[in-house]
Amino acid sequence: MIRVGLAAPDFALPGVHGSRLADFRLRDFKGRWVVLFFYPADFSFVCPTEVKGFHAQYEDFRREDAEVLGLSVDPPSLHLEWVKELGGIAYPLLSDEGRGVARLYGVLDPESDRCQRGTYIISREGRVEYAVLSAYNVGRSVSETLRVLRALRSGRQCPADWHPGDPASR
Amino acid sequence: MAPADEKYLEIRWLSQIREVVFGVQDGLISTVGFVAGVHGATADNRLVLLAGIIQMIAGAFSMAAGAYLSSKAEREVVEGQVRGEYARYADEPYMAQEALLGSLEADGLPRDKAYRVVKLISAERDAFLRTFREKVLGVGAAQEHLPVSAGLLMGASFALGAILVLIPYFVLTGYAALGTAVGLTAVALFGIGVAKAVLAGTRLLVSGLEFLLVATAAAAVGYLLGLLLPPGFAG
Repeated sequence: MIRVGLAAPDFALPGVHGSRLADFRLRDFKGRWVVLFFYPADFSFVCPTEVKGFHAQYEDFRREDAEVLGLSVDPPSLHLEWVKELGGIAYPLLSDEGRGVARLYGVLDPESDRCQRGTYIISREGRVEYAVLSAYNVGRSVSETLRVLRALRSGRQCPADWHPGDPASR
Repeated sequence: MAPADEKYLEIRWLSQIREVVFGVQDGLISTVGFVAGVHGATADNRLVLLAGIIQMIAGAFSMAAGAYLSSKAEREVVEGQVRGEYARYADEPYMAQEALLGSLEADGLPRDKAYRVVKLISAERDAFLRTFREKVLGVGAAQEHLPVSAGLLMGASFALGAILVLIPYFVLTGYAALGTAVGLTAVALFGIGVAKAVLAGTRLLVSGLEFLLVATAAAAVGYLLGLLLPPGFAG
């Protein structure tokens, strides 16, 4: 079970980045922040709003020294088709066909055998700093994920709805 | 009219076989039971015939009203549910699209192809709603409920079944009339089964015997219960 403040379990998975198939390992991203988001399925109607949402704000995440990783149980071949269908996605989409990572991160829905909508922000040191899980039908807010990432990176105690420039205490 | 459209209308018409089978079967069984009862109580052939005709008319109207009301009730309840789902679609189009996607995927279409089909249909609201109605809600247009037609068919079918039982009483008397009525009922039941088999493309003999045996068994249960009643129960 994932615990905020503890090390994020490492994993290695195949995936797609642009039109390229590659293997991805979480620990390869050590030294940078990682936004790892699980989504139920390629070729669906709620998920693309999130996948495209992270794509649209990808440069903002990059500016925060973060990499975005999308993850579902679909095979890499389907990710490739999906990325084409969406007109290109700037960050990698990983394939957890064996469901091991989804199970490890506590997001595998036993009924559908697919990922629930789980989002994790992992620090440069590889610690889970933020974890959120939402119901199937509710898409996540990309802006909120970015806001939390900025708040975490600020190293300050941030009150509710804090944004960069707002007062915060050390 | 395109062959597919003709077939659609044919299926729509044939789907009302329920009313015909129900009506004829009930017209036969209830009338033969009624006539046998009256026959036992009076030897007057004219009285049996008169009572039988009244039973036929009352039964036909009752069955027609029942079919009309039940079909209308079913249609209103189903349409109410469908309207609710349409309203939900207006509020949550993603969810309706996901539901249609899941349905096509369950039919064996690969997810990416199913997605493209749903995306294409979603561009035309009416096409999407009709497909959603049939695929997701399982409410087919060909099986649409037609209350007036159901009522008329049920009433006419009941009358047809009943008149077959009464015909012998126009030309025969006594047990000859009753025996012929029972025989005609059996033949008619077998005949409905055969007709159904022709339409459904199933085995004629099996279907004929099924109709004959099920209906006869239903009538026999009533008769046997009557025999089990303690003597003098009726006063």
